[in-house]
Amino acid sequence: MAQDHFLSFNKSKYLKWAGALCAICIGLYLADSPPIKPGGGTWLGYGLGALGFGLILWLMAFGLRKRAYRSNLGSVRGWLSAHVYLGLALAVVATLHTGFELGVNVHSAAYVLTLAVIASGIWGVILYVRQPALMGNLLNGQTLQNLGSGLRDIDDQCRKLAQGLSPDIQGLVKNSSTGRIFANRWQRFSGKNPNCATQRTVDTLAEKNNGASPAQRELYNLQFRRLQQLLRIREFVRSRTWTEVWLLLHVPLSFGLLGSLVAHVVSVFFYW
Amino acid sequence: MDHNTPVDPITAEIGGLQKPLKGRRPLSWFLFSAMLGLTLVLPVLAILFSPAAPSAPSDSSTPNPSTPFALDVVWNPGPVANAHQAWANDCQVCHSSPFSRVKDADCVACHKTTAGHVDPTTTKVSALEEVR
Repeated sequence: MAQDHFLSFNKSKYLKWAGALCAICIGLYLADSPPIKPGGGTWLGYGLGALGFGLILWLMAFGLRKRAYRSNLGSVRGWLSAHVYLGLALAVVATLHTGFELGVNVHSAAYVLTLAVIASGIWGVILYVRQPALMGNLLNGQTLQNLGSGLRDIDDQCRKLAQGLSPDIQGLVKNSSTGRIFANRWQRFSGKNPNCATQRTVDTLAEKNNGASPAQRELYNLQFRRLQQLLRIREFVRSRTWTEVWLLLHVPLSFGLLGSLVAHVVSVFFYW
Repeated sequence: MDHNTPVDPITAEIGGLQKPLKGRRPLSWFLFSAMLGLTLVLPVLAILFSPAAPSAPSDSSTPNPSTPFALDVVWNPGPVANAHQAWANDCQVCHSSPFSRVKDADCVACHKTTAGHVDPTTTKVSALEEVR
């Protein structure tokens, strides 16, 4: 691979950092013997809380770094690598901060939201690891618009070939070229269009392929390629839609967390 | 090429598919404000508008008034000591002023007439040594 993968960026530098951070925190937690019981109110508890708070602010700043195209403050890939590993480490820091005590209150709400954001983050990592191309928003090195113009080229060739063929074949070619990628917006989520015009054209041409003229066979081949291209576009849009659904969860949940985090910190000192 | 030719349907449809799903920003604002409003702003407002408390109640029968609708109870991190259960939902009985630790005066307000719940001469009360 020419470039570092975000999970193994710079010889997994951030995996090591995050691992070291967790080891230090767990070590301190085990070594600590607070007078009553462990929790957010001991000195170690305050320390872990401050560390967790700092981590959350920094993790959320990834959204800013991602948009700052001119920034020289490290590569986005490096930031993503650190974001993933330190985000996972936050689960350990936050859990130790709670002292393993949960209840129905603002403090546990912040903790549960933290874990929810981390869990959704893990889902995001899985989405991108399965399909790294989504990161660059490219399908086989091409943009969707490139692929669209590929479809149009096939349609032009088909129209020319069909000129010498029967009107019903010309009709099939026209239907295929005017068919939609998705018939409605919900098909983006499944990536399937059961009423695909190109699929119907390919099926019909396949039936007529026996004893067909070379032009008609060539037409069948082109339509078959068009169908393959369409299926690839649909699958790509489906995966991309799910990464957007994921962001629609991960980002708003993290802002919910920020709200409850502020409430958690202020309330703790309001009634000290 | 005719300049009035509309964008071909394939380009138009792909353009539409490339638009990201809407709602990330409004949903973020909603969750942020909901959490902050319900768990911080509302309780603080309730505390600010609770009836004025006497600076130090004379005895345990007249503790500081509780916060309206006990909205600050969501701040309680866990069960209070058994002997103080009666005031578990009246945070201001002990926490009389914001952003300062519980004052001796708040304890004495009740404990002038009530003895301590544990005898420190016979039991080591580690809770009193808690670092805060």
